Amino acid sequence: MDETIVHAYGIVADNEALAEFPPGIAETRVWVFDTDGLGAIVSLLPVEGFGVSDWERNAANVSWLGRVARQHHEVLQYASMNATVVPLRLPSLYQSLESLAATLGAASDRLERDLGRIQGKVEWAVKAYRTAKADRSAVSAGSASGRDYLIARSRDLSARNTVRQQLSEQVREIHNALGEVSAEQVRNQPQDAALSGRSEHMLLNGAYLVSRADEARFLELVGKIADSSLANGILVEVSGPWPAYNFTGDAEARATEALK
Amino acid sequence: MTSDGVPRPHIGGSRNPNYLPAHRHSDSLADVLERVLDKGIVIAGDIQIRLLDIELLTIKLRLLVASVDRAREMGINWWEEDDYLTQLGEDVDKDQLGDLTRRLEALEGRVTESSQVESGRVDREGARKGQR
Repeated sequence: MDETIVHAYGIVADNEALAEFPPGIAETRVWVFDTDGLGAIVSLLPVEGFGVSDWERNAANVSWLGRVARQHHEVLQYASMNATVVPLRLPSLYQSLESLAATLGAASDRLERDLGRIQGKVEWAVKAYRTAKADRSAVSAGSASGRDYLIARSRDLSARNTVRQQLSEQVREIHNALGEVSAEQVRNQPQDAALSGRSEHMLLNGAYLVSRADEARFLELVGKIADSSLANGILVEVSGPWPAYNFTGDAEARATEALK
Repeated sequence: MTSDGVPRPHIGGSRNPNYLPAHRHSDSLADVLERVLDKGIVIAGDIQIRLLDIELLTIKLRLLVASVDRAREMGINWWEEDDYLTQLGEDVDKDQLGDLTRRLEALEGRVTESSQVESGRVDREGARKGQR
């Protein structure tokens, strides 16, 4: 048999039934490896093409990374639909199932704390963008002289600053209102246009840990906010439910730090 | 959640589809990368690989799309929507442009005149050579 390496996708409490996983990275078969008290969602990757040097070489290869990231995510997405799962960061590689079991044993306190934290909850993502409407302001072109132009320009800039402050205040209110219906919430760094591929400027990149019992209420609130924000030049979009990526480990603390 | 793995319909989606565009299969690559590379728990085992964090990946992407044509191919065109960058192109009409050109020419003429007056013959020859 060809040489393999263990990849772990996420952690579940060991008694949960997950039967029909989608294919994992490199189309490998995915299953739950039971260790003492915890289950690790794993598959065996061929060392040929997915060894350490391949990961390092492809670290910035967007098409390779994108494909692998989607496969990792699809497995976690399936698991989170059917169980409480703590997602592991990509990649989580181990020489053998034995070494994985030993590693999990050492980290079991953290893992069990995270499992408890997200039990019965899912992550929803809400983004807000500034629409072109919020941007339009007086035009300083066509001024008679350089001096007039500079004065008009300065007036434009100050109007823009006011608009920017209003938008920022509204976005803070949106985030807080959604937080009221959530168990936890976090604001991530808005995505760069190079990454998002969107022309609109992103104002809010929020993640919300919502109890399943509150999901309907949460989505209804998103709908209301989306309707009322559009007139103010803010486009609101929601996606989910996601595995609780943003509410395990220290993700939340690091996001808060990054925004400072 | 259902136990058969079928995603639940988005509540309210039919009432107002505008704000609920995201069926889970349409999760953007940016969202997936942001999460799987930067979030989730790290349990260090016997093999440790740290992929680029999302900031570095974004910088790499920026370099990748540094060419405008390449960026457009990838559907990235934010600068075309930026008021500061497009205002002149959109809003200056032909008359204004003609006016600006005339004023520029007049200014250039005056600069040339004054430099000729101040610098004498040697520099004027230099300037003429430069124009050839």
